[in-house]
Amino acid sequence: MAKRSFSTLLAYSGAVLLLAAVLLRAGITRAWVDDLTDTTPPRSIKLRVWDWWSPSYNEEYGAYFDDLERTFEANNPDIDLVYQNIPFGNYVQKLSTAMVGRTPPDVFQSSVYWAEGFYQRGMLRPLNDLLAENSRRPTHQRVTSDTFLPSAWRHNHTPSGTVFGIPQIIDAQCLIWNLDLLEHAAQDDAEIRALFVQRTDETVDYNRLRFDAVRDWDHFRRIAQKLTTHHPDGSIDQAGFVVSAYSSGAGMFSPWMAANGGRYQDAYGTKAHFAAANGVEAMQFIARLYWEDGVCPPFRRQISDVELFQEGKVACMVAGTWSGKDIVRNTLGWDHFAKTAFPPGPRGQEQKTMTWGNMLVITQRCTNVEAAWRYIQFVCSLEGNLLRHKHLGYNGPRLDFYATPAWSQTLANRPYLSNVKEICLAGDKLRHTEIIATNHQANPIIETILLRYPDIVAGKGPYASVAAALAQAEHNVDNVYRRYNQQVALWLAQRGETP
Amino acid sequence: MNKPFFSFSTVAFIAMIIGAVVMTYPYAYMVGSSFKTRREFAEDKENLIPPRFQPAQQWAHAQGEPSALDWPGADWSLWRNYVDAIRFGQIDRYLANSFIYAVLITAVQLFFNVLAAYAFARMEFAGRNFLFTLLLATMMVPPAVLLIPNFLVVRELGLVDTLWGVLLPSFAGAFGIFLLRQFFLNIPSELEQAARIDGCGSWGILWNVVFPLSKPVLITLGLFTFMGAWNMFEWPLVVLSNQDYYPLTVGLSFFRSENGADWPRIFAASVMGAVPLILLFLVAQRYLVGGISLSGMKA
Amino acid sequence: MNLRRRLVPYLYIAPAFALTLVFSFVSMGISLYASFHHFDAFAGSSAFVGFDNYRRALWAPDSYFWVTMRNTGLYVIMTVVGVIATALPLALLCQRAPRGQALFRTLYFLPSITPGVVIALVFYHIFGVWGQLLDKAHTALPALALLGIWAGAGYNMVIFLAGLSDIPQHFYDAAKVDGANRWQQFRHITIPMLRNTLVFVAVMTIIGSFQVFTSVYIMTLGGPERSTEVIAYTIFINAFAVAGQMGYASALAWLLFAAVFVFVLVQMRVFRSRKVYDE
Repeated sequence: MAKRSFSTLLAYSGAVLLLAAVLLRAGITRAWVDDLTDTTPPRSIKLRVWDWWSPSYNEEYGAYFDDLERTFEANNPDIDLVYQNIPFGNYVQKLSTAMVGRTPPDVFQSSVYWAEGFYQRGMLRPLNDLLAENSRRPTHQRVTSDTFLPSAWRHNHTPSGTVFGIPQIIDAQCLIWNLDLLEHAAQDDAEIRALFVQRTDETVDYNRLRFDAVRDWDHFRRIAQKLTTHHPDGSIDQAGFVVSAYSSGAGMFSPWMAANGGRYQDAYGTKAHFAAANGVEAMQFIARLYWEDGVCPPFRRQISDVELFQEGKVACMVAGTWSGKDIVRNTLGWDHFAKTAFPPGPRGQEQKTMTWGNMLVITQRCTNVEAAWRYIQFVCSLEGNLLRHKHLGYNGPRLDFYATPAWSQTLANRPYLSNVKEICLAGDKLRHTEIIATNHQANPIIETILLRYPDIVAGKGPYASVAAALAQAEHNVDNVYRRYNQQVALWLAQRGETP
Repeated sequence: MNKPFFSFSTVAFIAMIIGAVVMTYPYAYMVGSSFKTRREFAEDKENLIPPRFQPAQQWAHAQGEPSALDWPGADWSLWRNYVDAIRFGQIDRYLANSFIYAVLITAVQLFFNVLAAYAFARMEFAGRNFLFTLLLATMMVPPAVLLIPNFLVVRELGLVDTLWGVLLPSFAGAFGIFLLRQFFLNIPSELEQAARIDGCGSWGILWNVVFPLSKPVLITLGLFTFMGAWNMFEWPLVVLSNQDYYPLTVGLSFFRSENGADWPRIFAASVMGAVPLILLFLVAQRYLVGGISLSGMKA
Repeated sequence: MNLRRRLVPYLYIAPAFALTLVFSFVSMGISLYASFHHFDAFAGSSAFVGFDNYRRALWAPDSYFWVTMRNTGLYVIMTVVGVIATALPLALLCQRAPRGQALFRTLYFLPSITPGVVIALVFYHIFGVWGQLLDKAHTALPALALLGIWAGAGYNMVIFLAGLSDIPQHFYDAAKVDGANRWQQFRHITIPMLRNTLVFVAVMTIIGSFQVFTSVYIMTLGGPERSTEVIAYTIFINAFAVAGQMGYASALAWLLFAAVFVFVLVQMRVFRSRKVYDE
């Protein structure tokens, strides 16, 4: 009898301990537990901020957010910052759902893909009045248009001048080159050696590439071919360039098209232009690199371009000016790579790319606009830029950032950032209208073009030609734009606004 | 009489073993990959043993040749990804949340279902058959039809992104009512009549007679409900945006980012996510397996 | 006093019924209502458009509804056939295995108690190792079906085991005396007596696989070239990721309901439940 009640007691205590452990670890109850143990006085304003940079993938983001929170909360004792991280791929879905569910954040980082759409739907609060007040501050705290690189201030306002976001970063697509592989090839090849920067004493700096290293597309093809080596059985050992067919769609194709003088859409999102001759040429160029020049590794879904690049199996890939820190982190320290823009195609004139400035926005339903604006001003100020730079190595969107000693120091210590400013200045405005819906229509067609290019060229494919396939995609995208603009006209009319 | 060597029994046994390997291979893959470093996983996806522990690689390293032990992270301990998944990925938070959701949903569903099933089985009231048929009909509706409107209802109640928003629609479970009613109908009515003679009301009968007899069925139903709640994915995906409330399934799906994914870490989190239910299953096997036999193929 | 007695049953069923009322019936009503409207859930505006959403799904040139239904239908057929073709032989074999039946049941049951997200993440890579099955349009959907079969085989094996154990042994003994071999016993005793179980497994698998979502969401996002875009995924994207299409998504959901209904009816006709004679 005593034994039975002892084991029952044991079982119950075990259950209680388990329950206690669960309640202590659970996200739901952790806030209560923290409140119990917290001795600092509670802050009156709770500011909810969303972002897609997540510490679960990259620990430096965690360090950055911690530092940012500490610095900002120290200067603003009445504000309690609450961060939420949501992966980029799920971001718009979660944000839309939160908007529809009436539980949106106060401030969030918005990709240029979505900002204009959100504004037109009435989800964002215009910032012109707040900017007017801000324009009276000293330069390093100002966030008006004159303090930013022009390419950062393209996506955050309507044609009539209503500003709805402040750029937090400047991003550009770029080509990233593996300098280990290039340096190795440069020993025997003068053309590849000429890609590197020449110092004033005529020695070659093998840590830096010239911004205009690649002259044109034929030059690019030659270099890629020279950098491609094969196994004895004919399969590719080291690839000159990598092309990604799955789920990349316009992302890979737009910068090449821009370098050929083309564009994905017009400035207002009413018409797609990627099926014009410069777009067709760009698509054919990419497909031929894979199918005819044979400089690319086989298409694979589970392995990303970045992974191949990090393993040293690819000499050049399309990535972004933000990719450097991820590569350094993933390889635990390797940083012997360099960035350039995209060389001009037959119909282009200069090195080009796509640029954009992801921005911080305030939601319409924000209950504390004044606090939200304080946060935005801080993050987008020079101090905020430098803070981000310190932890993440980002180059800022502000003009005064490039005059700081921190930036000069970085250029010396991290040569892979040496062309980044020029790349950011050389960019066209990234497409920005109804991205999810247009991707849904166009990406499968682009995927088909890349996967079935030989069939299409031989006349056996699902489309008569690359031009026909792109024309079909363009037609579908135009339909998306048409439906979308009809809806926008309705929304604006409801609010009594002009586009 | 001599049994031939390849009797049907032996063939059956071998076939089952092969099938068991097929069934468990993905688990072995998951566990093996969770011990790899990122570089190891990128380079060698097939092998279950992480390269830095493979004898061939260790031998090559000892010989001074290039090997997996030169790759970044070769000095990592076996459990590094598990520690990182907790430290940076907060997987412990999501596990605990799943546990809370599952326990609450199971408790409430069982309670409501017992009440309703008893009423349908043993009580006479107007519209009994009609209401029961109505309940059965709801079992036929695909959840995809209910996803959007449930979200809108929860929104109007102001419960989006809250604990109750996740729980409330999950408290409804017609299947449990059906199962329990079936069971209650089979309880001999003499027992209840005896209790009634002793002066028990409906609640008394329920508590003193029916409930003790139903323990096996309740445990089985409870286990199924618990597992269903633990595995729920689409509803919390839609309703929640505050990551403090994510259950394990949603938290795991968000471990990736646009710039790639730390797969070994994701696998470590997956292992931690799969283990609790497996433990529960091992402990409560006979109820689960027995319960499937009960669950109404005789219908 | 009498009134109170009569109200008691309603109190007992009230909690469960209230929940079901709201989250099944009211929800179905809202869904049907939304399907006839162009509904922008954020701005709160809705415009009655009659059958326009249904028309757009069924006939508009850039609607992918039929592609989605084809994908889903193929997936359902492959999964149902695969599950039955795997689970039934496994159950027969398990019965005959000389030892370790309990261990086998445990091992085979593991996939059913593992969250779908975990399974999808693992198989995402296993399919890559096996020759990039998810990369090609004509192998991606069968790969997903394979995943569905793997995940469902153990659970249904246990169901079949229970059904098999109901068949009285003396049927088989009598047949053996009459000189029937294993195959004849299987055809003439096992299958007829398992008819109800077969119908149950088939119907449950159809209903479940029609709503496949997690593996698509985690592994393929509808690709490559839209070959794995299934109806539950399209509904989700249109409802929650694209703005202003909740009405359209609701219409799609009702079309899914109709499709499941038809499929199940056809299935039940083909395998009409018959009373089995008892001897």
